[in-house]
Amino acid sequence: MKSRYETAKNVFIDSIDIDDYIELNSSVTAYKQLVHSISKPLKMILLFGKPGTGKSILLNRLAQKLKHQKEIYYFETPATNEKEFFYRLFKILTKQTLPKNTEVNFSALVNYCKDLRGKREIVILLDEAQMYGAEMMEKIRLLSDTRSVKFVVSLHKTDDEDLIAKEHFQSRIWEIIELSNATKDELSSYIHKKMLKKNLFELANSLKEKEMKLIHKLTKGNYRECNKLLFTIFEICEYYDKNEPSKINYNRVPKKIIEMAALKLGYLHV
Amino acid sequence: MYDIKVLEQQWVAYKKKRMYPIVFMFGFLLIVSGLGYYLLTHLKKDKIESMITANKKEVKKNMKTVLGKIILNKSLETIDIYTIPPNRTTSDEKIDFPVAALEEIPVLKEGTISTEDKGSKNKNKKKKINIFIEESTSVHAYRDVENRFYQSHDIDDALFLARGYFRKKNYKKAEFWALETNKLNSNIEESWIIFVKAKVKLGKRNEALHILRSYIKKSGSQQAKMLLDKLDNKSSAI
Repeated sequence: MKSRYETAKNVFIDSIDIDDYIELNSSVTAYKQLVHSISKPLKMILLFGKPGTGKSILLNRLAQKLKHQKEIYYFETPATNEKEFFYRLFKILTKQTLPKNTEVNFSALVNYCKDLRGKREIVILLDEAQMYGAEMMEKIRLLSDTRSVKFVVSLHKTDDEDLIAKEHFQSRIWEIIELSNATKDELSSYIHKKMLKKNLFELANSLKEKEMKLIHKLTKGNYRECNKLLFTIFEICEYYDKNEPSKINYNRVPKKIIEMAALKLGYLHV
Repeated sequence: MYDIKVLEQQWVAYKKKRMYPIVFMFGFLLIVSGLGYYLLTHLKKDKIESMITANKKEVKKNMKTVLGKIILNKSLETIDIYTIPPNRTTSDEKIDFPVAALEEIPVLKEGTISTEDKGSKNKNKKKKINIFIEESTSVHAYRDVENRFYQSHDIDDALFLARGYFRKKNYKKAEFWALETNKLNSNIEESWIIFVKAKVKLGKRNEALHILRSYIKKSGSQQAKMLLDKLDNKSSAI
């Protein structure tokens, strides 16, 4: 028989699957802001935030929601090199595959984009943009200047990435949307909604306010860390449920198990 | 699956580690509070003890003062007794009489009186005598003064006894103590007059006249002359 904790555990597998998207006040606001920014004649939009604050899933949701309204493309993984990036871009713009043993001429690409102005409005969502080099970012900027291609650039918020933003986008970015870690209430709502989505009502109730507070403290409100922690918590619960049921309280997730999971993940140290 | 046993051990270690500061703080607070309590109680005790010692000293000091006051007050009481009617019984007076007052009276001796007080010396003497006159109606009091005289040969004591015995109509003793006074100081008018009066009372009139004339010749005392006139007129009111 499948343990109830096994289902709960799988709820918190970290993914950017649109089905796992949880609407929270902050994410709804960010989404609306992003949609509104795309509709404006902006060249570049910067989506900014620490890892695990929901940038990727937001971009994914945006791509899924607007794919029937706009010509929108989501670059989930960054291109490993310039050649690959322009290959993908060429395919989007021309809707043709680049012949073998050929390379994209960047100047010709820019001219092609210039010709598209007023005819097409292409939105490209670039996730993990901090992995693109400075030269590459400069070329992206030149492409955005043609006004036929609009880029939404998602960046991790670190000191270096701030530098990239300043150096390459400051004068061109018209809109900056920043995502931050969840508050205690937001995180609590996120966990409950995620579990209720899978009909885990009883288990959702087994995490009381005190436990939520501890989880928020341990994860600092980071969604990714929260997913990891809850996955581990339910994995331990699953073990006890199967092997030592006397050690588990079905009405309330014991603090001991939360702390054990935190120790396992390195949030706590012996 | 994780090795849950290892994880449990880690958790126990983590809880212990978490408990250390609490245990340390608790222990520290316990020690501090214990030490504080110990110091407080001891300091309080020491303070109380010092207070008690101080109080004891104070009490002793006060007692001295009070004793002095008592003595003084008792002496004053003896002055008050001066107004007690003569029909008061000797035994009553004996019970009420402050012995301490008698013991303290030698303080008023001539040697202990300061220069400033010398002006009032006679006054003091008079006061002292008055005290004893009233209180020394008891035989014991007179004996005490007599005994003291034999040790100190105080002229005031001798004169006091002469005066007292004369008043008590014990003329034999009055004569004796007047003579003792004269032996110590032959210029005291009062002792000569008591001596003469006692002689007359004892029926030695001629001898008394002879002595009185000799004294008048020597001193020219007006009081002695007046007494001589009275004796010449055979007045009984001497």
